[in-house]
Amino acid sequence: MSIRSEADIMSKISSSGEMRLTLLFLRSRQAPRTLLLLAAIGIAAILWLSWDTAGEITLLMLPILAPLAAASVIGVATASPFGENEVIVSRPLWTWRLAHLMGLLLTGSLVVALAVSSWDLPYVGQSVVRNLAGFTGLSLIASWLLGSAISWSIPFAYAVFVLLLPKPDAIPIWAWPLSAGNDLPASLAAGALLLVGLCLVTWRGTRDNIREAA
Amino acid sequence: MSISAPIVQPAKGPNSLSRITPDLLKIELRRNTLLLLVPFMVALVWFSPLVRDLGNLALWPDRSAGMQNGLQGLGPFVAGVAAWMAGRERRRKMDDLLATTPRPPWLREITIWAATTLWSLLFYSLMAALVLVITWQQATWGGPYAGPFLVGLLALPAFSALGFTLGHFLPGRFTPALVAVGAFAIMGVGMKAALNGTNWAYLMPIYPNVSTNALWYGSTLDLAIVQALFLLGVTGLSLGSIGLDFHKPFQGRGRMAYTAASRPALVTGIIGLVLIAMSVALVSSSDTTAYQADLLGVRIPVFGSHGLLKDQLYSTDLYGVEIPSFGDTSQPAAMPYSPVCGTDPLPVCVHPAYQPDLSRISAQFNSLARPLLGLTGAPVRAEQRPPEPGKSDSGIITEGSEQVLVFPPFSIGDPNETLYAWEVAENLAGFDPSRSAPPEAAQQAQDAFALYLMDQAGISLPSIMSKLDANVTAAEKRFAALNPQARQDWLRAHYLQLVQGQVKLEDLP
Repeated sequence: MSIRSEADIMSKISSSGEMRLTLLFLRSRQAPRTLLLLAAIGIAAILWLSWDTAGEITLLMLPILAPLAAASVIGVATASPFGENEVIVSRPLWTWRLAHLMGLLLTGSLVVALAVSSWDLPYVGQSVVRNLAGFTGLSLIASWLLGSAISWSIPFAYAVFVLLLPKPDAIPIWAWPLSAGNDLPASLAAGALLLVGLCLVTWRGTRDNIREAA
Repeated sequence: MSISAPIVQPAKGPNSLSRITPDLLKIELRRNTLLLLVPFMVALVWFSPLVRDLGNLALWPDRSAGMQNGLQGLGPFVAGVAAWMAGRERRRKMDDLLATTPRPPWLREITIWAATTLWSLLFYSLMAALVLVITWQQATWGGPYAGPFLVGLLALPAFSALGFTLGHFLPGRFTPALVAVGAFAIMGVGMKAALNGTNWAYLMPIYPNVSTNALWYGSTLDLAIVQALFLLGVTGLSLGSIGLDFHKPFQGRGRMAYTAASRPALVTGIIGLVLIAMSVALVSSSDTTAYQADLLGVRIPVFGSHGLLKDQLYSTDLYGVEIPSFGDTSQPAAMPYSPVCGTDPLPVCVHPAYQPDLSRISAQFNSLARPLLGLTGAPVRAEQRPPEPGKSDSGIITEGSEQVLVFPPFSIGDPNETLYAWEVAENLAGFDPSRSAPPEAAQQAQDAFALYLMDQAGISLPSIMSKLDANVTAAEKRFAALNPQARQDWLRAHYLQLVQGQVKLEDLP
């Protein structure tokens, strides 16, 4: 066997190994089920809109609840069933974590944006994508802080708080989910939360109880 | 010689059961996830409208209904945590191990549910006690209404049971998050349906069973009882279905064999189902549209007439939902009360519950009516009156030989406060929705005068009135720039005509 063909074989083995590890990583994070749930959330939003598009409750709740549900699913999907065992592997985990989260975030954005695309409301597409980014950031921060299992608690509590606020004349930046989709400070606030959440989970992982892996 | 081994008797009977259950409950109470999340529950309540309203005028109907409002965030949160707790044994792969224990698995599961529920009830009770104590100190009339508290106390076990059941049957990591968000969304959809006049949606635990007008017309427990039955039914059906999962009622191949162990679960589930069916039937019998038709003497189609929804809502909002099966649904009579009155030049009288706001309402009304005091046709006092369907709730009415300014219940600090002030100014300028509208030029003169009253009282216009006709604002500026004596002389001579719609905009000096 020539040296060149040996290198080719090694390269093929290496790339197939990399692919296998990636697939195993995605399986460990229940990626297929996560994608199905994201799609189900999109369908639920479409059904809601087919029932009502102009009611005050729909106008207020749907642009917040659909992204909240998707972000909660993404936050929970960060759970690792391996605990510390995974940390000692020779490959850098952060690349997989980041790719996994970005993939889910992109899919989630696409789903919620498509779900509301038929809604005749100005900037609603931008609004749901921004809210998804912000709630995902909160969800990831909660995953790092409390564990992925109850990572939904922080974005949920925050969303309820924002939804029950009295309607202010000018929406403060901390109430970004209520702002219009073209509001730049609100988008920056949501983006900053997402960045913090991504950095924490990508570098530090989540605080998970290995016995609770499901 | 024979060796006899000691025989260990397994624990049997109700005594051992009653001994072990409290111990198990203690363990579950200590190890419940809800404890970890108490700070979030505190935040959910602290930032809710319930706590925000504690700084406003204390009206018992509002504060009592707020206890149901407080469930908006708390209920779904508890449901989510219960769903998480339900999947615990399966997530930790303890099922097989626990199956070898002598206790009935349903009892074990219910203990986990009970611990979650008890913590949430303790939290809710503390919150209710706090609201009661604060309101007792602030309120000047009436007392708490039992309905919202009853529903609140039954709603949390129902939320917990529903979440627990979903967590039991779908024990994945995603279930709790989706249960919490889903429960919140369902309540939103339910409120929307209730506001559209869909009867079953009145069963939502956050739909207030006490209306604000309970202050004037009293309140019945009709809706509270039906909501309570529904919540008990949801709890029973949820817990029963878990029991039936452990103890299948019918087993065997080719034949149906009843198993005695499943009896309690089966009975619980059936009772739950019956209660749900009963509550749905009862709430469906509540025909608020027909009720309103009797009230106003107008024939209104019962359902399917979209244009009548506003009226229907008005009726529901005014008196609350009444269930015909519980008795008479004729128009309730206003409850007697002795009004409290201010001592300013224009005496203002309000319901005793509004006494804390009297000085501020009186100051506002007197500042608006200052230029009119003593004029012919001007009101000699102002009285707060209960809202009545089909009647204007504000305006100047004649009682005997006196003119009385009547106004609806509102409190200072209300988001619509300036709108109410504008309504009073318009009434003082002669606007009366119960009379036919005067010609447009006369209406504009009244608007300009109302604008003047607002300006001289130092009250800004409500934002929805900011686009007044330029001619009206110009006339108001002209009138305000007059010499005070000349303005007063003109008013003395023309106020009655202005109120009667006989003064045109160009007639204003």
